[in-house]
Amino acid sequence: MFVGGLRFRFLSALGLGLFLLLPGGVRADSAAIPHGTVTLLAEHRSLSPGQQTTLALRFQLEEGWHIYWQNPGDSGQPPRVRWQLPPGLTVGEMQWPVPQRIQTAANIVDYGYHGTVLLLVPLHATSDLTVRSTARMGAEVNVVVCREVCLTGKAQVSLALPVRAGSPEVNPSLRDVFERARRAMPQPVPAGWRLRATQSRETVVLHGETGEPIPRGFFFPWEELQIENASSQNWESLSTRSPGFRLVLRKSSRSRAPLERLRGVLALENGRAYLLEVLVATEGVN
Amino acid sequence: MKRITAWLVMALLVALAVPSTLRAAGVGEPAPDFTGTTSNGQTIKLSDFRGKFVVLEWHNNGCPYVRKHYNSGNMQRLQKQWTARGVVWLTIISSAPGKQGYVTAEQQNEYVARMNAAPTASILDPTGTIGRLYDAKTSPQMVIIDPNGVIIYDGAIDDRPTANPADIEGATNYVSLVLEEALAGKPVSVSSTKPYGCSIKYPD
Repeated sequence: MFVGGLRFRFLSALGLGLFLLLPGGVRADSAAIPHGTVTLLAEHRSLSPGQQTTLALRFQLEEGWHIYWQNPGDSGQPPRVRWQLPPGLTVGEMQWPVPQRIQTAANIVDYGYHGTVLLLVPLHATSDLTVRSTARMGAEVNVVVCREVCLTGKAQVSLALPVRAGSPEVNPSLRDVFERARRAMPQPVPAGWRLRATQSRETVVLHGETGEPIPRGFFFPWEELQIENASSQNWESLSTRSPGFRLVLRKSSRSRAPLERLRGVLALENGRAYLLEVLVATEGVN
Repeated sequence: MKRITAWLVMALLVALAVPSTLRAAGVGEPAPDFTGTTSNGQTIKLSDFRGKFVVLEWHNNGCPYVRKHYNSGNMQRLQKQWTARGVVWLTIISSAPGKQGYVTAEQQNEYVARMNAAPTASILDPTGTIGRLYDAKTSPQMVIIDPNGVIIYDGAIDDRPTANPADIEGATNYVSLVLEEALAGKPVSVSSTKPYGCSIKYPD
């Protein structure tokens, strides 16, 4: 599956593109981006009317280079995707795996991904999709790839899947790939947890009652201008009476108005990560 | 001994629990004064320009977001438009030696001439001192200071955070918006946005 960088860049420089033949007769092409490639993959090897599958944009980056999360942090920009889909097919919301914290200077912290990363997108087929046809799907991907410097790239990827009656068949060669991609996604907050948040003028504090002790965590803000990305996050484990934590975050100096809600990913040191959204109370008022 | 260790641990925890107080000046606050060396070898102070509006533009000639605004001529147009109306425009380069965007005085003068740029001056800040004073994070990043020396805007150049020159047309340019309002004596409608671009290449 992995395509040698040099040969690959040579071919794409010639504008030939490069096709990978996946088992099951599904053709997916990789396209070059600066210091990496992007490939469009589907979890199933066919589509069925009225059914859903999952598409993945797989980015493979050379060592040291990164792309950005949907909130890039202090600099950079997330990949932008323009889908080209035939009638009868629509995509849902992009799912972003838990990012990494990338510090480029004392006052600059970005959020993004190194190595291989898969962005997942649900693909819905309407019930009147014509069977025994071929659905050709494409995506134009605009991406900023950075190491110390940043390069911009535009890539065109595509995928063709046959439309068949009945249930779509999982592509066995990609089963593990999609399973790993799902494990990299933040999960819903465990049912037993109780979260709340309070704010003062300069800080917002996330309080959690977790029922059992949990390892330290780091908060990735879903939206820009919620917190100062480069400020230290102060995690305090609480064990008296009920186990939990208290996480002190510095509010963004650019957000003047009080925060209404705190949204983001809480990533624990044990590898678990949760997508949370908590209303923020103002200290002294509530 | 044990007790001392416990105290040290406590002290450390307390220190960690206090969020870092490193905080640059913000909108509505006095712009921190600085002394800088221009690419023409002059030493200038921000406070020399009291009584005038001042624009600070963080620059890195290798950054795709900066190139968007220079290769299209957008930045030069803004520099000419506003310096013609008495605004002081300072292009600041905070890239460290050996990093992207670092230039010598000669290289910057050559760049300004070749690009037909028109800042009042280009300030070389290879130590990142001025950048850190303003907590500059990206190139480009724009700061606007009023004649009283108060920061009235800090953030992005416009509302299209991409590196694509095609996005300049139709964008709301915050520098023009803010200066147009401020020069007319009106309150500024946008004072803080998230700057976009490449990270500033500070010294390690």
